[in-house]
Amino acid sequence: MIKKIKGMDFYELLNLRSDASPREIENAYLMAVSTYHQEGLASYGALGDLDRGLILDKIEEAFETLRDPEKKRDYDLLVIPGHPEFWQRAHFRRSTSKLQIEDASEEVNVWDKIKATARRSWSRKDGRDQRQDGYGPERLPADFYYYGDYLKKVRERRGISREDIADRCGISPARIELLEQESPPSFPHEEELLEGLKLYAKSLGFGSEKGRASPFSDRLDE
Amino acid sequence: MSELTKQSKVIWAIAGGKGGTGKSFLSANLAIALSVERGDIVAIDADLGGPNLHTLLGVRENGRDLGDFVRSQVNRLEDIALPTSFPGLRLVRGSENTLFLANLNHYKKLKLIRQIKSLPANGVVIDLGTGSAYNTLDLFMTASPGILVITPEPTAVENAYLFLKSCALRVLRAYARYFGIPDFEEKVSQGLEHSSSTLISFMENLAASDGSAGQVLSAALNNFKVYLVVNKARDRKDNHLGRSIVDVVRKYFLIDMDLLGTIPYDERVHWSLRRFSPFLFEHPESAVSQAIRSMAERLSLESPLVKSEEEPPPQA
Repeated sequence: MIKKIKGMDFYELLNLRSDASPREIENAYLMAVSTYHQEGLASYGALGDLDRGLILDKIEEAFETLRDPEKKRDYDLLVIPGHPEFWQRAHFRRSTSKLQIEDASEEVNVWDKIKATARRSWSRKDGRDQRQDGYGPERLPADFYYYGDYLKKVRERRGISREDIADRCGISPARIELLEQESPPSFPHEEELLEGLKLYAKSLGFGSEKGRASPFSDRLDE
Repeated sequence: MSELTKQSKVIWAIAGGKGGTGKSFLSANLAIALSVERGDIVAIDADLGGPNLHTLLGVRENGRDLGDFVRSQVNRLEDIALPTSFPGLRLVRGSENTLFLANLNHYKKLKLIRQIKSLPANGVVIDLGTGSAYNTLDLFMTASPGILVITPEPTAVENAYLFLKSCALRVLRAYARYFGIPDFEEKVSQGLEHSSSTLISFMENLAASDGSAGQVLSAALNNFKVYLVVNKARDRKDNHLGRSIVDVVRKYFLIDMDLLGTIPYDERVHWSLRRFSPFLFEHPESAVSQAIRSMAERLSLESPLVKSEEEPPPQA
């Protein structure tokens, strides 16, 4: 049964499993923003500005909660028992506690096997999370399109000045402003704009290997 | 067919809200790929306004067509399912008498749907016309599942949503009639047809005023399964578009949509059409052909052919 938005929790809103990694949460957030962004094609003709604004606010709220380990922990206590994969794991724990796996040489191998089995059963039972078409955010490619005005919004929300970002990226604040506006005349070659936006996003901790350790940190590790 | 039950047969209907999205291209090539996957496929050109599936399949000879069936010159659809140059694939040609067919009456439409359902084959691929005419919607909903093709352009996306909204309304009306939900037409007229509100807000208002009606009709939409194909994808944004549209449809239309796949843009499609040669046949290793084959494989896996129960051996 497809849930209505009002009844969705943050994981459902972002199409995430409740055990999603920070990287998956970040991917799902970016995917959701690109879906409902006013410049995005996906919701064109389906939603008006008001509806887009409402869902983007919810997406922001979801991301703000799930990206923060403490907030996430509190939130998980409330919602995770309602998720099918929670019960799947709970059931699995109950059943495996009765097992005598004496032949296994190393405990870690047993757990690997258990996890692999559990994963297979998720992909069978929970079609929403493990679709064959890679709908789940865990399979998103890393080459996201980062919207300039959204990067600006994230920057402002985190209280980072344009000059700071410019420093981190090694380009001028004026150039950063042009990136935020995605102003085509300033970027005659599309690749230049895309690379600039990617660099800007990386400076905010999105999509970089280095940033992954603390992807939502306000300052760069590098 | 002999050792397989008719229950294995699946009907796939391919539609698109806008012209030029590649419905017929996908129908032709998917039908070929499915005929390789499971054999005995019938492709039906039900583009009642402008049939050209035969051209995409490289069939140039004239023969009996859907018009003959609709005009009752032929009694069984099976009799006009003619072989193609691809083993395991037959074609029901569309009629060039477009004016007559585009306005197919209710009785003839029911007859066509009945015969499509009873056609002896392992699968049927229906190529539908552009737009949201009732005939197109009803044939689309005959399928399980229907496949909606879009291109990454605002016009195609906008028309796809319009098509889905029309389908949803058709589903809701049918269920409302069946369950005798009072004043439904009035509610649709006020809350949906003459307002810019979304389907979800209409459903929420309906549920607020009549909880059980809301529940029944939400379940009806949930059971309506649609696949999405994004055709002519050119860049990274286009590659993500399918997933995004699926998300919007599931959240705002309550329709069970899934992404079947994304087909990259390939200039050679044009040239294979000029040569009257199906693309899958001409460029089997291209990314386009691989995408279509993987769609066929997935569709086929979802509805595996079932072997009929073997007859017991004769008693000695």
